[in-house]
Amino acid sequence: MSTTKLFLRGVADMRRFPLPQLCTLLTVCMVALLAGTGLLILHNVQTEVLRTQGQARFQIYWKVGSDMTAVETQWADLKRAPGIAEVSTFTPRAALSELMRGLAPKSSGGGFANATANASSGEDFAWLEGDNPLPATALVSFNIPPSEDAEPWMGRMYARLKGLDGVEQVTYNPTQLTLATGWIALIQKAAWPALGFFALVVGLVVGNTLKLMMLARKDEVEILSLVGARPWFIRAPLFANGVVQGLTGSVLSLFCLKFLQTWLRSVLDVPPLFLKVEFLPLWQSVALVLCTTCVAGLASLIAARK
Amino acid sequence: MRLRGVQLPELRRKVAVVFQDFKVLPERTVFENISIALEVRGVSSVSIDKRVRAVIRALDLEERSYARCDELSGGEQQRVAIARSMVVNPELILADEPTGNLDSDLSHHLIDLFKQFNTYGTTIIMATHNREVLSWAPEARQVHLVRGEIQAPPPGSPGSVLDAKPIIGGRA
Repeated sequence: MSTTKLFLRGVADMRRFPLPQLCTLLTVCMVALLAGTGLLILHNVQTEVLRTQGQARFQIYWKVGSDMTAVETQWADLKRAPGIAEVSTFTPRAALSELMRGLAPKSSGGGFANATANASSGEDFAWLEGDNPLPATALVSFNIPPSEDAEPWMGRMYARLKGLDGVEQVTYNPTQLTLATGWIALIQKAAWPALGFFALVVGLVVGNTLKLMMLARKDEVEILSLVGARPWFIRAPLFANGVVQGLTGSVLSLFCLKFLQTWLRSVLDVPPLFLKVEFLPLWQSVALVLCTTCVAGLASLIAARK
Repeated sequence: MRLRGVQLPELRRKVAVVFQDFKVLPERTVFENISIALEVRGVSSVSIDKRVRAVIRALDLEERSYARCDELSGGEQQRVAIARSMVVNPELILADEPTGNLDSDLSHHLIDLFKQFNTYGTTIIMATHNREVLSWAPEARQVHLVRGEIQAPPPGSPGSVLDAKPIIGGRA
């Protein structure tokens, strides 16, 4: 019997043991999801840190009721300022709209879609137009000049921004830079060993789960040996079974991970966090699927060895 | 002697074993259980079909060909195990209580089949507690085991090992 036929037989035989197969698939999926979540966190923290590395971020609040023409002129000046990396501005109306969007699910009692639509169109807060309690704000990121020490530079920039006409408050976090520097150092020293350890754990869990599943087919392996089957005749279908389990489980885990990422994005990409949780890059997604599939195939071969 | 690599599967292809506990695959059909012994030998599917049907007919399992083995009675499972051992035309059949779950008629029929195989050159070594079975093969060489030791059979018993008459035993 050809190897292809043996592989096909292994896949077809999976239906004979539905419960052990389902339990194994769930375990492989959950473990791959756990590994994927670790990668997702690492990827997003890394992205965020690299994005803000060497940058200083200030949140500027103007006084309530400031003349918006004057404020918008200041925003235009800020956007042209030397060393500027990013400027996000919010008019009081836009800030109120964001706030309403954030509050919509709670205030609407479940009518999330309608509330969001209404908030976006401005219908829900039309009555506040003339008396908006929110100030104009801007989130400004600067690239710190390489020749400057970060903290004194941030102090001077803080004073400069605080001195702008109509500005009531400026906030910034001087520890952000220290955190970023520390994180980069940590990534360089510990990330790869940690990922390696994580991969080992995933391998062991997936491997042992597949070995346990093979117990359901122990009699089959024994009988095949007794009737004179050569090792490859016994192992090939089991190997195919393991590969299909690994592939299906890891692809399913990617769908779950996408769902998790979409949910996290909707939860975290709101004021004041504005954290954009991105999905894994293609190469990491492919690596997750390939690693899980290879480990599952290998574990099946080892399990069928005796 | 220590067997290595493919020597063990090769030896097992010459020796068929019928176990007391059947060792059939419960979730597979009768046909699949019997054909598996031929599949591992790389026999073509046409030949498998022909040979399996012949042995199924010989062991009166035709009506149960496509039934799962976990739906069969003990006697039927025993016959599946016997069919699997016979379908490959082995040089040696080792049978541990093969008639243990069969009624008298089927047991008699099985012994006739064994005799037939023996005629074509297959050596059969069978363990049994059933003296009636021995009477159906009076020409067979008998070895009596008492507490694991070979004993002389009672005087006048058929086919005593002491008579050294190889009937069911010794490849032609």
